[in-house]
Amino acid sequence: MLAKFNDLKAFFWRVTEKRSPRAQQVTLAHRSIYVLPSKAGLGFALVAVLLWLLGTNYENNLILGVSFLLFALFLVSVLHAYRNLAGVRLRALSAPPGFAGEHIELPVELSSASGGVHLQLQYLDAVALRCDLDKHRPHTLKIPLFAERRGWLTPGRLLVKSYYPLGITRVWSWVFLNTQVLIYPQPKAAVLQQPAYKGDSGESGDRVRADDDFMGFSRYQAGAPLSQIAWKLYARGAGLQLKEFGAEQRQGVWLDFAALSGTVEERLSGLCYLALHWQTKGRDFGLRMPGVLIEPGSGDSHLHEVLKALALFEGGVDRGQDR
Amino acid sequence: MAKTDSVIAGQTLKHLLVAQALVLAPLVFHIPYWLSGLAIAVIIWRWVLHRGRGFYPGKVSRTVLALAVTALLLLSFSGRFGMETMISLLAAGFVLKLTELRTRSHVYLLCFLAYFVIGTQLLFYNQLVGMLYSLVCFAAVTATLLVNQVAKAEQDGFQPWPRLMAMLLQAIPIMLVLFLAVPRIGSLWTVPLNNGSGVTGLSDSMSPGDMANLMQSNEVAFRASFRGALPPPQQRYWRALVFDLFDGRRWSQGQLHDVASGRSSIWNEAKGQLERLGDSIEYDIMLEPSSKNWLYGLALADPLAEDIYMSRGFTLFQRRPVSQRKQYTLVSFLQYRAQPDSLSDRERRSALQLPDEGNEQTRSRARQWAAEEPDVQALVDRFLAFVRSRFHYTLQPAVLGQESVDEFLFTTQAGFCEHFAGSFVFFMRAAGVPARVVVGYQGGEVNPHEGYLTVRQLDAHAWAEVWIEGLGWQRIDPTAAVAPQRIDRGVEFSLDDSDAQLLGNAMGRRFALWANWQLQWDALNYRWHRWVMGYDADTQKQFLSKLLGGSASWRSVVAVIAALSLILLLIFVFLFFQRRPPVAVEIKMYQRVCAKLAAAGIPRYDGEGPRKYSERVSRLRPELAEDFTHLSTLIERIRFAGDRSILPEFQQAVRNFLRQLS
Repeated sequence: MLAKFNDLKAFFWRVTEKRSPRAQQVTLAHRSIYVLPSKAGLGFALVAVLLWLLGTNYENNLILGVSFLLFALFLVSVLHAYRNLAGVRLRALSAPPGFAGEHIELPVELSSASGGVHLQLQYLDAVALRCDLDKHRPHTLKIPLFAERRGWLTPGRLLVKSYYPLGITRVWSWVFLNTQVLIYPQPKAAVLQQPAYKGDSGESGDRVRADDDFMGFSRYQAGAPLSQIAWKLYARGAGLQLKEFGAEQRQGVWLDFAALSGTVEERLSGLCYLALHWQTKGRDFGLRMPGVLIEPGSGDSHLHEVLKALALFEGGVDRGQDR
Repeated sequence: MAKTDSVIAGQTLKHLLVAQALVLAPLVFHIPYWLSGLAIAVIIWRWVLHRGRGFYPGKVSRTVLALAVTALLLLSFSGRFGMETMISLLAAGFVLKLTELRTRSHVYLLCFLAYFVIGTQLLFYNQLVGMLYSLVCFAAVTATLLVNQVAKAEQDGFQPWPRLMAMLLQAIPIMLVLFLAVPRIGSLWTVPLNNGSGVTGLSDSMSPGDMANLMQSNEVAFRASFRGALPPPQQRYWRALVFDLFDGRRWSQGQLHDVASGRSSIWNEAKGQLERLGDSIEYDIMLEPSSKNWLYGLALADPLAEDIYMSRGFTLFQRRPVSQRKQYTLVSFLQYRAQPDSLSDRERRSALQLPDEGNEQTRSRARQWAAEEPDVQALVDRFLAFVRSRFHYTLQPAVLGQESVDEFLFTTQAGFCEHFAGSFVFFMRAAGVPARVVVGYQGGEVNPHEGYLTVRQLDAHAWAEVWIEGLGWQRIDPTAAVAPQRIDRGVEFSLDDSDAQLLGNAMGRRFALWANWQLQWDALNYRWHRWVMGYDADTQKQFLSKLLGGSASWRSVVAVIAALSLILLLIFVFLFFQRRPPVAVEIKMYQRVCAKLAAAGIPRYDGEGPRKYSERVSRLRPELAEDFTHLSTLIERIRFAGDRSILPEFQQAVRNFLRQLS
């Protein structure tokens, strides 16, 4: 039974998607605009019926007139509701990359040639964003998306809806914007299994940090890896202190896929963390992964290159969000 | 409605409160005064709250308030349950709902309630003005719904009126089609409108002074429009009730004539005994709500409608009180013989009834005259001659004591129609002639603009009927004997100045301009009621069959569907093919440049932005690069940054470029 229902649902969305094709820029037209009375619209109709009963019972033509005016307004409202959405253009603007497990914002530019448009944009079950469109003045809304996995995130259907003009009609359209957002792996603190460089940090023998020479101590900051905490100082009652390691630029660090343990995703998360770590430390770093080799370097574009390689490693291409 | 409901915007609230005040205002006279006060207080409080002072009441205090208001309402109406009780409850709910108004979705319920309250307004105010006012209310409520949908309302920056007016103007033709074509079904249930108490009009009994009180009201009782010529003024006797029971002071309806009682004895079994003579007069009467169940007809009238009945006293009545303005058609005969052959014993007894004692002087005089004048007609003439020679017509008669007929006939000799009619009937009965009092209206003012007669409360009148064998019931109006101008020209022309001051329209008829304006206004209202309010099932049937060439129901169904489709199509066309906005000057100039370049072999592609285009042009025609890039930068700044101050510079650049290109 449930399976049948799900089949039906899938079929419905296939048809819907066919009716509103994916594109970078979508103009809403009759093929993809749907109009139905809203919940409030049913209440409105009920008032009209009650007034009709009142007018009929007291044989009062004016009350009947009000009732008929409500019905007429309902019909007119449907046309105005349709006109409100028809011709609205949505264009996906490029979104900056984000990290898996975080909310990212997808900017969508809305515009209308006729103006006087009032609509709401909603993604999945998120809060609907309201906006008014004036003539020839594009309006950009930032839709919050949750990035579940690394890779290319293709947003699913966007719901463009409106209860304009009177709240008694619901006019809506599903829009599939042909855009993708690069999602980096979720950074997770990790240590390299093998030292990338020789250099004793004086820590417990088999777990050698991939860090550089010891430089001193600093106050503990939330989120710092446990291995960086000076446990000996802590034992002496000096509070949590972090061991600072040499920030001096000497040689590049290699982020090696093979030097981490765990599943592919865990390793990618670890590499992502380390890349960010070294970026903030200002150290050069390179990436070594099966089939990928990026020479050590620094700077934002280098970081992006590394993170992108991590994001897209082995089938990191997202097939889109769940419908 | 969004899943998470957002707080009501300030502009929406402003519209809502104004709409609510407008909607409730006309009900002030129909709901208890304390409830009106509460409504004003709550509306003001809600606005103050919006301005950041005060606090929302908790659930407990809201419940307590609601219970208190309900209890007070029950107390105010002390268990009576009518339309006004329901409307007060509705108004109370409408006002109290405001105390929990927080979010956008609450606005819907309040607006829908407001629409319903507008409907109830129209129960009480169904004149033209009432309709116009309710339209204003309707627009205000609809504006609230509209503002509620707009994000800008949070900054108070939305102008709802253009869109609202467009929608209303488009809705009105649809409404008219529905109004004309949707079938009218009769009443479904009865809830009395409680508003009977305030209505002035004839009552079901007559004691001295009642009629004079009525004279002080200028209110319209009914209007009559004749299909043919108007009857002459002295024939305009509008019959309403027959009073045959006298208790020494008060005349009222006996068992045979009490039309409100619903007894079977009031039904007219004597239809066969009614001879209609002369020409018939057909006319429509539009009766103002009287909260009484009797109706008015000229002289002796036959109803054409099925729900109007003729009583034993040849008056008209219906089963239910007239709570709404009522329109009906009658056929009258100015000459007739009513029950010419015989009276039943019961009828004769009731037409001769007198109190056991009192007014002995009148009784003995009546017996004396009856002996001297065996012919009934001669007796009547003698009485009228007596009245004509001695009596005086006034609205301010001396107060009469216990022996009211004696005092009036032999001492004060000044009075009003009820004195004349009552004394005459008493006298005739004492003389052994069956007689009764008839009340109704006499006269009516012709509206020169529409040609109908307006009969007002001050036209109330009482006259008498005597039964003469072979002739039946004959109308005798003793007032006409003493004040013939009362009958010919109306009550205001038959009184001296101090009396005329008492009339309801004392001012109205003295200033010609004012009077004329009143007549025009009345004519407009009359037309309104006749054609709009009076559009009932019968009129609808006639109108539709005339319009559609047949009365088959499929014709109206097809016509309605066709008309609605046409209107909706027109609206659709209007909405989607509005004149395109004028193209801005800079776009026109840029398009000219593009056309020139296209002619030179470098057309601009669809969707190619100015920058991309200029890059391509620069690549293909390096000699144009500098000027065209400059021009493209300018148009971009104008269009996308909205910097219109550089427009002259852009125009100059275009001219230069075109010159260079050619």
